[in-house]
Amino acid sequence: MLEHDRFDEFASLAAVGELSPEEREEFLRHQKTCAQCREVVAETSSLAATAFLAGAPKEEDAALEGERHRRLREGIARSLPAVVPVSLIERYKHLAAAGVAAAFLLGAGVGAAVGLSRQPSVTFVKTPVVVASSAKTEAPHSAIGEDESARLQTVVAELEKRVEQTSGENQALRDKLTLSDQHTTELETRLSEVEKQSNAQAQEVLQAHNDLSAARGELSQAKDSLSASQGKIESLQFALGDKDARLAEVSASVDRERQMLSQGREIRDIMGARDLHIVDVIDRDGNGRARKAFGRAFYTQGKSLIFYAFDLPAKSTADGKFVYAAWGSNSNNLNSKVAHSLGIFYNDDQTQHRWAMKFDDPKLLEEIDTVFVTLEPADKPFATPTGKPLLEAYFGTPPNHP
Amino acid sequence: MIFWKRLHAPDQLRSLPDEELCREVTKGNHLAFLVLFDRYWQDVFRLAYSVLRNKAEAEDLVQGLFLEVHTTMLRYDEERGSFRTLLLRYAYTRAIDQRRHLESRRYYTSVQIEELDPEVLARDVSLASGLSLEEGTRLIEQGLEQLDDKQRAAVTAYFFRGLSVNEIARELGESFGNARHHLYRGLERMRRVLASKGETEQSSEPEPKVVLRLHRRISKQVAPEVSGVRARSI
Repeated sequence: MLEHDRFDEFASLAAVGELSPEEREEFLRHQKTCAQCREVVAETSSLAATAFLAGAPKEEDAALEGERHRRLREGIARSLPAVVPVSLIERYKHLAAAGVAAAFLLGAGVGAAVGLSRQPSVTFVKTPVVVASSAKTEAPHSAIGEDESARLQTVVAELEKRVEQTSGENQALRDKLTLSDQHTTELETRLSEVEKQSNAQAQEVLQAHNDLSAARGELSQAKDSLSASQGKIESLQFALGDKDARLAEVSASVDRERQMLSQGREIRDIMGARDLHIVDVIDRDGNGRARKAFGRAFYTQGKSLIFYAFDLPAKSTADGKFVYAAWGSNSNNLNSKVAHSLGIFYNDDQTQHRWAMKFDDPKLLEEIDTVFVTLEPADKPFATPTGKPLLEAYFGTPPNHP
Repeated sequence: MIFWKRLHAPDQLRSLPDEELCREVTKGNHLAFLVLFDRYWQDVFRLAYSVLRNKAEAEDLVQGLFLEVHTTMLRYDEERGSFRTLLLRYAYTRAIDQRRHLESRRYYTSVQIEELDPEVLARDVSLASGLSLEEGTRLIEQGLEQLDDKQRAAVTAYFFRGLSVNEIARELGESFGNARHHLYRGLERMRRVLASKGETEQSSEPEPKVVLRLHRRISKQVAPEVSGVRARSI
């Protein structure tokens, strides 16, 4: 019920054309099966027509209205002669048939003249002469008068005129068809070319696709190979690291052996030297007084000096701010303050708290007979001793190991 | 011979009733059809113009409609209704269809007269179809009296001033849906009132003293329009 109320509204609004396209379609479907709605549409249409007529603006200018009437009437009168009521055709069908036959023959003649071999899609003999027929009224047959004959002749003439006109239209259509055929041929040719191009491009695309697939395969293989190579490189680098470490160890070992050999040679040289001084080093206290010997010096006269010091406090040089320096001087020199730097001590053996210093400048060794040790600051160059002597050795005595 | 001469005389044809002229048209008498045209073109034009609000469109509709009527004269059955009634129904249907086409700007999908439901078209609706312009106007006025203010405003603006539903909605300050509903309610109520009136007063003649001149309105306001109609109807 509620649903049909909606169609009641649709029916009224349909009569004045105020439904949306969707509503109209829905309502037309419904209306086919609803007599009530059809009734409402009919009644509302009638009411609306009356209302529109009642509200129609009236033409104020009679001249304009007269002109409109004349124009419309002439237009309709011009169109009417081509319209032949069916009742006339039925009554005078023999003449009408003659007219139609004439039209057919004329049309066929025109068709043959243009020499078209194909069957046209438009058949002019079927061009409709608008015919209205009468279902009910059948006038009594009577003799055809002169007026009626003249009228029928007019009709036939009109039919011939239509046939002629239709033939012209037919020719125009055939010309259009020919042009259309040419155009179609051109289009087909172009289509064929385009298809060829398209096929070639498709082949190229396929080839490119295959190439791309192959390249991807190669790339994948290269990536795998690279990955394997990287693994190998890493393992080689690891092995190389091991080798380097071992090489370093071996090098250190070789260096130690060389040093030992060198030291052994030096020891042999020292032990085999003719003018060797082996001097116990005298320690001095904070006031410079001699104390128990804490070192030993091997002096090969005019050749080399090896100074070993024991138990020098390592704490003084631990932070790198101070070093132990060796100085050489000549006790016979009146200017006892002249001292030559012989070098600094290095920690030769930490377990034995032994420090060592080597000096082998023969010229300077000829000039000195005393060697002493001081503590000097490491951060600035020193040309003369600034610290108090800690150890001292004298070589002025004759060689005790000739 | 005498028969043909008589039917081709314009003066004689003009004196014939519609039914006689229609019979002549089916026999091929073009003059008879032109007499019918002279008789009713103005009604068709006014109706078309009232719906379409465009004189050129209305003229095209008149010409096309009369030519179609001529070719389909075969279907005319005087027992189903008067020629004028059917002609105006055709005209109205065509005009509404054309207006819908013009509004939607779509391809013209008008149905041909032959496609219209003969039952609906031929029904001699006892409302206003067979009435003269003055009779129809009076009937509409009586129907308007039964409407409430908004319904009356919508109906008069729509039919007498040619406003669209959108324009009516703007004037009433309401939505499109509400304005369309007022129009529907107005039409529905008028249809029911006039239908019942038609049944009870079928034989009564309309009173000439209450003929409206609604087509002369120029006012664009709804309210004065409504009040004017009501004042004239009293």
